[in-house]
Amino acid sequence: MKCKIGRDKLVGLCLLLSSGSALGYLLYSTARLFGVYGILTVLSSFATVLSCGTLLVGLKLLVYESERPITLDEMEDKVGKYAGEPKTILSALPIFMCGIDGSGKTTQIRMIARRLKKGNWKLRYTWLRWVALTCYPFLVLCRLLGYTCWRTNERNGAKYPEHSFYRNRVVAAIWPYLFGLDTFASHLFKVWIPTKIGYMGLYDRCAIDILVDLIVETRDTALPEKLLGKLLLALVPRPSIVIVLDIDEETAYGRKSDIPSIEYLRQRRKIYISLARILGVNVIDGNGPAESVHQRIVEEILLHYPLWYCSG
Amino acid sequence: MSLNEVLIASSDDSCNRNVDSLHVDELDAKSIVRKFTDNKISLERFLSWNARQGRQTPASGLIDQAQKDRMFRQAWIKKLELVSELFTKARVEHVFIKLMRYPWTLMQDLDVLALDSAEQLKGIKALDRADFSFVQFRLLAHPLKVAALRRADKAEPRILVDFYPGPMWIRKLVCDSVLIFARKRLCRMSDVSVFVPSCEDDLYLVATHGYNHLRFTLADLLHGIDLISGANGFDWRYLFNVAETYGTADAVYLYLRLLEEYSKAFRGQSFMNEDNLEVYEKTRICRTISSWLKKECSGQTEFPVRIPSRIGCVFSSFYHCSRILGRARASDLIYDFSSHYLALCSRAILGET
Repeated sequence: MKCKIGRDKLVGLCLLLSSGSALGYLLYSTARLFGVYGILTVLSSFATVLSCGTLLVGLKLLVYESERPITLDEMEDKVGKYAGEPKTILSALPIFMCGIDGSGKTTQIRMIARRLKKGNWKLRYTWLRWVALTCYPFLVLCRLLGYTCWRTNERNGAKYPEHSFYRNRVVAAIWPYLFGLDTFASHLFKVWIPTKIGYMGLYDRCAIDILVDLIVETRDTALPEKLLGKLLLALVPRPSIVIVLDIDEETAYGRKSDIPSIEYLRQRRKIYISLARILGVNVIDGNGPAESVHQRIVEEILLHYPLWYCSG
Repeated sequence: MSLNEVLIASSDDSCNRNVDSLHVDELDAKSIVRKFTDNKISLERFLSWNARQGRQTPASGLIDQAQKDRMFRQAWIKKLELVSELFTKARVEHVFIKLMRYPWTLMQDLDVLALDSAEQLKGIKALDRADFSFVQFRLLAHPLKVAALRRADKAEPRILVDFYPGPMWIRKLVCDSVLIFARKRLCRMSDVSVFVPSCEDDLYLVATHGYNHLRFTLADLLHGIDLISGANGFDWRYLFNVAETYGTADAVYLYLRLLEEYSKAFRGQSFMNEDNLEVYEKTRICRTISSWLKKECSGQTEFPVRIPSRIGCVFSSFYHCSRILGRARASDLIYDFSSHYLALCSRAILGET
């Protein structure tokens, strides 16, 4: 141990001398450059700060021994002092669940939330789909022109909106941009800000669902490759967990009464699967009892994420 | 025949490269000792390889050193058994980290991670009852980082029991204790049952630790290969997610690339899918590492592998701190950033720059 201390002192002396002369030179350069060359001043100041740091290290090595004995009582005091320190630096990851209507998204999100509640996460459940603000006037116009209308479900008499923007090329071209604008605004407040301030967002649906709707309404299958499609997909923060629940159209249709038709689901399901393949998103088979689907989600996805282990 | 080849041929039983041992006698005994010590491998391996090659008895200096290494390993295993027993009796929630699975590794100390400060105190008390004394490190070390040395062992090799207040190297935060404890497992090390992190966490900790010290030894690599090939379904996705979450993708990527290069070069096989590496290359620092490896290390990896300061220290400090910005406290972040440069200083002190 003695030899180690001797070496430390020697190194401390060397550091002290070298950083002292470097500091002097840098201070002189900073003074000369100040206000003349912006970037050089910044670099010079940064180097000055580093030299100061080295100087302190050298001084500490010179004055103190690098190792010092400690008693049990001292250690107990220290443990008492630092006992309240924050335990984890693990960040919350937003979880997005998407898929066709009736695939069980809400049920699965709730099951995940139940487990995550045991951890110290600030949970926030959000439903993310239909948000229209600036595009309402446009919708009114479309209604007058007959591109949107209310239909009645023959199965149970429930009313549902039908958007057929694809019937007019101009309308089909404008609608995604207007709707996209509203989506950006809503994602800023519902996804980005909560994620940045440490909330663990559990999202029922995501930008993928919005893209699927836009593809169906405009019949523009090339939308994901276009700038708007890419911008919409960029709304899903990285890193995050995105899960697409895939289920038979017949089963989904049987689960919910407000679904217009099986064809409505079939069309969307195809797009979900192809988008998931392109984006490399996890697809989970949503058929079967909710507990077994949850088990599949946990085993195939969540167990591969550290946050799952820090949740009780 | 180079010293590097002698090291690999004698250390790795699965090495399939034919090594011409004709000129071994021309190698200097001191440089052989230094090479093995630098790579944390016992010189016993060299002696047994030399005997297998049917060569003459090596210099007495090598035999003496091999004997010292053997005694050190035995003392280390005895210490591991003692500490593990003490902690089990005192019911201390602990894991031994950086325990190399390669049996001929010369580990300098015993690294212990306790679940929290209360468990750490329990462990310290247990060691105190067993006649251990404690020391702390001054320079940038965490206030709860403490090393224990048995008073009675003065005649024996100096093996410290290093208590880590968390998974951090100097003050670089690389993981959370709670995560490691949630996945810990029981493992047998030379007939001693000890708690160690899961294979993925174990590999992760060794990778980040080696990277922080700006070098990977052959023992580190053999440990990694053993972990991956020995694990029942190694979870690559988990490893990537942990590395990405804690801003250590650079360390894990470099380690995995070295493992892959080594395995291809000296074992003639690849044991990981290329996709497992490609996911890391989305990060800029990993692409820098990739081009450095292509330029500097293609085909001829010299052990221990030294990581350039600009990558392991400068780039890494900015990348890592930017990833944990907002999650760690400001003071921890400053300590974290400084730790990178302290590691560089210690490398300079050891004359490795």
